[in-house]
Amino acid sequence: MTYDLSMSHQSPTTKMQAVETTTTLKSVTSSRLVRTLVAGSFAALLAGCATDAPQDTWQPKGSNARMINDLDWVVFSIAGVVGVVVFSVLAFALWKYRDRGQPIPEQTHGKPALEIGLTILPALILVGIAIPTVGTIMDLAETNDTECIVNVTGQQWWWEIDYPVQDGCGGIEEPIVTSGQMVIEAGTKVLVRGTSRDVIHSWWIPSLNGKRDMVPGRIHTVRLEADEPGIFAGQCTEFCGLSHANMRMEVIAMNSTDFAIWKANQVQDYVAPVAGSLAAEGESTFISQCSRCHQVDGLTDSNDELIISRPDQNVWSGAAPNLTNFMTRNTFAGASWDLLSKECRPGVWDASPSTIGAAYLDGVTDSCLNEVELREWLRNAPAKKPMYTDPESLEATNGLVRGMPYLALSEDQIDQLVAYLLERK
Amino acid sequence: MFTTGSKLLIGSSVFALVAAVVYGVTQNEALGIVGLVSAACALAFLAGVNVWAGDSNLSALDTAAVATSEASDDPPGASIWPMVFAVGAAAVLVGLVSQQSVFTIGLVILLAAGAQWAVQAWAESASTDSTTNAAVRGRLANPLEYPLLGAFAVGGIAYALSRIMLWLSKTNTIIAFVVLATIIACIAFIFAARPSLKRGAIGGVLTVGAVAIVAGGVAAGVDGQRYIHVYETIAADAALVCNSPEEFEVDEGASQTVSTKAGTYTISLTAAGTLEFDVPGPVAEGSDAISLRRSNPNNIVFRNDSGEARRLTLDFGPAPEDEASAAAEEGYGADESHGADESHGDKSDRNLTCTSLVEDGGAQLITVKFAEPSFAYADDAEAYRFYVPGTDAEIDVVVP
Repeated sequence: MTYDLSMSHQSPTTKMQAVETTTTLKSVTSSRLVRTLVAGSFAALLAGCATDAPQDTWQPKGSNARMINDLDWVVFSIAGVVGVVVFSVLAFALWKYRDRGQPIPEQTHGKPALEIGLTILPALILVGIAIPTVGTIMDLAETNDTECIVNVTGQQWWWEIDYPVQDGCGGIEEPIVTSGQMVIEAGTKVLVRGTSRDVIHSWWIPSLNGKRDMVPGRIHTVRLEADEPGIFAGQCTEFCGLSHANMRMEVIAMNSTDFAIWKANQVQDYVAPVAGSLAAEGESTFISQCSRCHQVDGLTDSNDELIISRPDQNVWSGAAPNLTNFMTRNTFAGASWDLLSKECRPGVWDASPSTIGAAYLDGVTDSCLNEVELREWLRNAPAKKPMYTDPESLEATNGLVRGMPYLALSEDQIDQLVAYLLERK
Repeated sequence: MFTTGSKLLIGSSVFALVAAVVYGVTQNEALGIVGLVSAACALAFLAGVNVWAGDSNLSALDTAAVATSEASDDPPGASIWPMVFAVGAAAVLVGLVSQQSVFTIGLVILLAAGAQWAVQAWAESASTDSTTNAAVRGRLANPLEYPLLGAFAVGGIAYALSRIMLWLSKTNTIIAFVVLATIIACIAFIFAARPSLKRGAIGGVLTVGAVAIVAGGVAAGVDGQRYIHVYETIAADAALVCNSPEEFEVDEGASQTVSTKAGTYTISLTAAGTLEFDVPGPVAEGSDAISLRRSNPNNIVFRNDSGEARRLTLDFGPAPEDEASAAAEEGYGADESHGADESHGDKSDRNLTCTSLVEDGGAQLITVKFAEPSFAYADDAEAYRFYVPGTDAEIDVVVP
């Protein structure tokens, strides 16, 4: 049996019922839509009140971010007033002059006084906004009060951070190279000199300053200053390829004493693992599998010759993270994963300003290592972080990889490497 | 019994069958036979369909049909496009097994001829009047054809002119084109001043001129271009050039200005003969060494305020063994006749790069990239340093 549901075969009563049903359905649908929109808007509004938002631009933690924040309030306040006025006038006009069957009013063209007024008024508003904006831009570009210089270099998909020899930063006599986490002294005016090795990246620590593009071949600067010790998260904000979302970084601010300890630790001589230990086997595995790209300062081969990595021969960007003091930082792989286990992480990340320096300096201990994710990374890095490492994608780079490739390490080798890396402090 | 159309198909089928037999007898290969027999069968099938459908044949006794049947319509005009299409198809096939360029050209011909063929076929079905059909075709195709033909004509003439320019010597090129431009200007003036000139005369003059240029281009292209001197580069002879304050060919006409004003490092040779560097931000490094990044193109502006033409040289450390031995065989470095600067020793075994000679007050950009950190050359006091040949000025480079 078949049913013809077309309205042409229905009685007038049925048709009316169908129309009513359709109207009711439309009404229900539109009511749901309105409720959804209201709920969504309310949720978005509430999200703005979040306090545990590490990349919230409205929670400045340093002088430079505060300058931007102060400017934001001025600009958004003016823009808000303008918006309210414009939409109010628009709504009034729509309501007042809506079509009620009245005749079309007389059509006139031009009212010079109004037109000139509505041109001058926005111009004056823009000038009013421009004055504090330009002033803030100039202040943010100031470099003469620098107390510490740190270089950052972006590449797919991690940040290298190096501290050149300088009198600043409390004095640095040997270059320090690290990655993912920049350690600074709280209250110190830091000048970041950034560039890129491959494509354009953008350095952004929202709670300390605005974004700055890092462009190959050019040096761009950005100021950082943290009011007090803490961990300040950021991420690359210029789309830079497949793992752009996994290109993160942190600034760790600590007091001067802790910062001095950190600096001294970074340039300590290499300490080889105890002979016969699992870590010693890891050293051999590291030399055979990892040292082509990753530098560990002071590591020597069997002839006591320094091992110098040559990432330029293997990686498209020409660089791989320096692992000399790997376990002194607490994230890895472009600061995308924690080196600290879930149990230990809050002890550092949620530490108070007075204790965070010491907690950070403890580094990653055997009991606190996030072994699962580190092992996953060593087992198959491209499976964890997309990096164009399949052979078909390497034609454009002459076979050079854009991140860490799959190394086919055995579980024994992974055990050895974990043991070896745990000693890199 | 047999219609007009079916005769062609029947003949083709028979021909394919005969060809299959001949092929089978002369060639000991089955694939060709299968192909030809298949073709014969397919053609026979089409012939059968054609015979069965009647092919719109009309009775000769039907006098009304002479004026009303489709057969009374103007026959399709002669068309070159099927032939061009076939040439394009052949070129595509040849290109697939030979060169990509042949394939590309074939594809272009194929597409162009196919489009023309389709447009013509479409236009010829517009009406029974061939004049109307031609107009329909023109309305659709001409707006595309004229600009394309014009572009091809201009491109051809420009290419021919370029061949002529490359064939003539530098001086003669200038003379020839001054003369040619004068002739063109004179002819254009005559055309403008004498509007009564016949279109045919103008067209004739332009055609002769275009043909002359294309013919000249072909002749020049066949004869080949003039000798063009390959300019010396620093990379080709760095061991010699970078260690000398003398002027070489590579220094002739070198740029003396840099447009980049920010975002780079700057190294200046002062009037006192010392090297100073400036970096983005304050120079608070408290070190005589400039810190540059590893595996990264470091752009450095070299400014010369010393009063004499100087170059900035970077010592990258020992050259790879094969390069060093080649340089030693050619006697570079120790040969004072090349102007080697003894104050910096024999550099034949060094990996060097440098700017061209920069005049007093000039500036030049040099881009350097370090593959290894400076501690890889900790035992080599000369590695990773900038110096100025002919002076004692130098700056160490630290690469972390």
